Amino acid sequence: MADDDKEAPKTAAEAHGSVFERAKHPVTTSGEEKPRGRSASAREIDAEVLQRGNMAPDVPEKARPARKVGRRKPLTPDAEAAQAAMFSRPSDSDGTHAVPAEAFGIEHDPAQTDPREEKFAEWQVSALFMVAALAVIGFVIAYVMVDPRIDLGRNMNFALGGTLAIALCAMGAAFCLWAKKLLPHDKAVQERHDFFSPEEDELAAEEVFFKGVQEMGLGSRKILRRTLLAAGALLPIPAVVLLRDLGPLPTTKLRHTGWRNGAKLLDVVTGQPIKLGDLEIGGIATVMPEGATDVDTHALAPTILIRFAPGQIRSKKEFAWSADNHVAYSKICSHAGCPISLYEQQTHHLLCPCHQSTFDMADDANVIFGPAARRLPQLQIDIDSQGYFVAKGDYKHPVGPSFWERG
Amino acid sequence: MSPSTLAARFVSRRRQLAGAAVIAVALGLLGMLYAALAPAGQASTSTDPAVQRGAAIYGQACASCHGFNGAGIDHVAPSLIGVGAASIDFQVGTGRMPLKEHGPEAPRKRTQFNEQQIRDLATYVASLGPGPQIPQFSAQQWQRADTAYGGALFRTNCAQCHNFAGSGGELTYGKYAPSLTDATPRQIYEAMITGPENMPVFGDKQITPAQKLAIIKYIRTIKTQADPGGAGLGRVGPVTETVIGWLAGIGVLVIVTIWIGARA
Repeated sequence: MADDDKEAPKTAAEAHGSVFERAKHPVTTSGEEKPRGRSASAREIDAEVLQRGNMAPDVPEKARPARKVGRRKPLTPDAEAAQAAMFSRPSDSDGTHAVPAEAFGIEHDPAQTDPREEKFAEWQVSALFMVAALAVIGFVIAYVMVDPRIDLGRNMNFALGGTLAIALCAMGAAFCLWAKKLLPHDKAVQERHDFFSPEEDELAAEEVFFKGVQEMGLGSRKILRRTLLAAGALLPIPAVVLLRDLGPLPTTKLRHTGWRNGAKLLDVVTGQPIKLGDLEIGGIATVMPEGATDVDTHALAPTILIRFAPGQIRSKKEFAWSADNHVAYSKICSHAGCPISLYEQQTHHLLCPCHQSTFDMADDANVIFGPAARRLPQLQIDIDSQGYFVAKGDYKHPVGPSFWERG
Repeated sequence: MSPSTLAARFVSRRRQLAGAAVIAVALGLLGMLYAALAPAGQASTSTDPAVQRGAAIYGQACASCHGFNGAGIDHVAPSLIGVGAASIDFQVGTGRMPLKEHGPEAPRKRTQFNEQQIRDLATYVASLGPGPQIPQFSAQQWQRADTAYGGALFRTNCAQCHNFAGSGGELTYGKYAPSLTDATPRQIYEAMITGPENMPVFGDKQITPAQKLAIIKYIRTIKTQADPGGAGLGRVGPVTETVIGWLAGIGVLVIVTIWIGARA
C-alpha cells in the first residue's frame, strides 16, 4: 500500500472527490488527518478492489467510469481552490462550514440579483399556489356535485383523483420553483458524528451485564440453572408434535376417482347425460360421473369428451378405448393439476393454460410441448343400449399431478 | 355453258353446304354434350337470383383459393361444400375471409362486403351442400335468456380460451382465441355452431339454442358493464393493475429520480 500512501490527499478538497478517497483517508473538514475509527465505513479498501472498479488513484482519468448518478462532477481548479480556502477557516460550533455557491462556480438565479426577475419569480410561485388552491376547491365541488352512482362512481373517481393530482402537482412545482429561483444556492458541509460509542460507554455496558449475571447467581444456584436448561430444551417439542397433522397418508385415495363401470357421462353444468350425436365432430364437453357426490371422488373425476371425425384418431390404444370416434380423457393436467380444456379442433392440441403443456389428443394425449411428464389418462367408454355414453370402469392410471408413491 | 355442267356445279355446291351443315350439327351436339357432362362452371344452374348473385361474388373473391364450386384446393383452402350459410356469414361478416395472408390465425378486420352481398354469398354456398343455417331468434327469446345461467355455461365451455370476461387469450403455436367484445350476438351464435378455425363445435344438441342465447347475453352483459374506478385494463384483474402500477408508475418515478440525481 506504499504507492497508495503517496497519493494520500494533502487537503480536504482533494479528499472531497470520492467516497472511496474519504473512506481511505478520513480527514476533518479543516483538512487534518482524522483518527481512523472502528466503524465499517472507515475500513481500509483493498487496492485490488479499487483497481477493479477503476477507482484507484493511479488509474488514468480516461479509464474511469463515465460520470454516474450520485457521483460528483469533478471541480474546476478555481472552485477547488475556493473550496479549500473555505475549509481552511474554522467551522462553527456544530462543525459546519458554509461555502458560498460562487466557490463551486454555481451561478445564482437572476431572480436573486435582479428585483424585476425576483418579482416575476414570486408571481410564478404564487400563481402555482393559486392553481393548487383552485384545484382543492374543485375537489370539494366535485365531491358535492358529481353523481357517484354513474358507472359505479367512474366520473367521481376521475373528478376527485384529477383535482387532487392537479393540487399536489402544483404545490410541488411551486416549492421546486421557490427553491430554485429564490433561495441562495450556498453549500453547507458538516462533519459526520462517529459511528461507534466511546470506550468508557462500552466498558460500562459490559460491567452492567456481568454484574447482572453475578446477581442472578447462575454459577452458584445449581437448581435454577438445571431447571432453566430443562425448560429450554423442552420448548421446541410442540413444533415437532404438530408434524403429526401432516398425516394421515392418503393410502389409495389418489388412485381412484368417481368413475365406475356403467356410470353415465353427465354434462358438468346441465347435469344431463350425454348421448351419441349430442357432440358434433370437433366438439368437446366437460363431463362428470353419474352418482359421484363424495368430494374425494368428485375432485379427481372431471373428464373431457371429444368427438373426432372418422379416421382422425392415430393411436391404436386410444381408438380401442373410444366409442364411435368419441374419446374421454382426464381434464386434470398431469403436471400441476390445472383443469385443461383449451382444445383446438383442427390440430387436436389440448393446451394447459398454467404452464403451456400441450397434448396431442389424436395421439393418445401425447405430450408435445411443456413441462408435463406424462400423457393424460384415458377413460375407457362405451355406448349403452339407449345411446348414452357410459364409462367402462375407473381410470387405469392415477389422474392429476405425480405424487411420491405413484411409482 | 352446257346444262350438264350447270347441274354438276349445283350438285357440288349442295355437297359443300351439306358438309357445313354436318359440322354445325356436330359442333352443336358436342356443345350440348359438354354442357350436360362437364362440371357446371361459375354460372350456377340455379334460377334463384340470390344464388346467381352469390356465385358471381364467389367467382371474384373466393374461387382463387377455394376452387370452383367450393370444392377446395389441396394445401391451399378447404372445401366449402357443407359448411353452411352460418359459416359464410361468420367468416365474411367478421372480415376474416377473404384471407389477407396465410398465418396461424385469421384476424378480424373490416368486411369488404355489404350485408346483402354476404347474404347472397351465404345462399350460394348453402346451395352447394347442406350445413348450419344463419341463426334467427326473436326479441322474446332474447328477453327470456338467463344471464346468470349463461355465465355458468360460459365459464365451463368458453372461458378457458376466451377468458372469463371474453377478452381472448393465447393458444399453441401462434394461434389465439379472439376477443369477443366486437362480435355481434349473431356472430357469436354462428361461431358456436360452425366452430371456425380451431374452435370446437358446440351443436344445438350439446348446447341448446336457449342456452346459446344465455351465453351470448352474458357476453353482452359483461361487455356493457361499467368498470368501477376508471379504465378496465381488459378486466384481467388485479394482476394487470399491479403490473401497470409497477412498470408504468414506479418506472416513471425511477426515471424522474435518476434525472434529478443526474442534474444535482
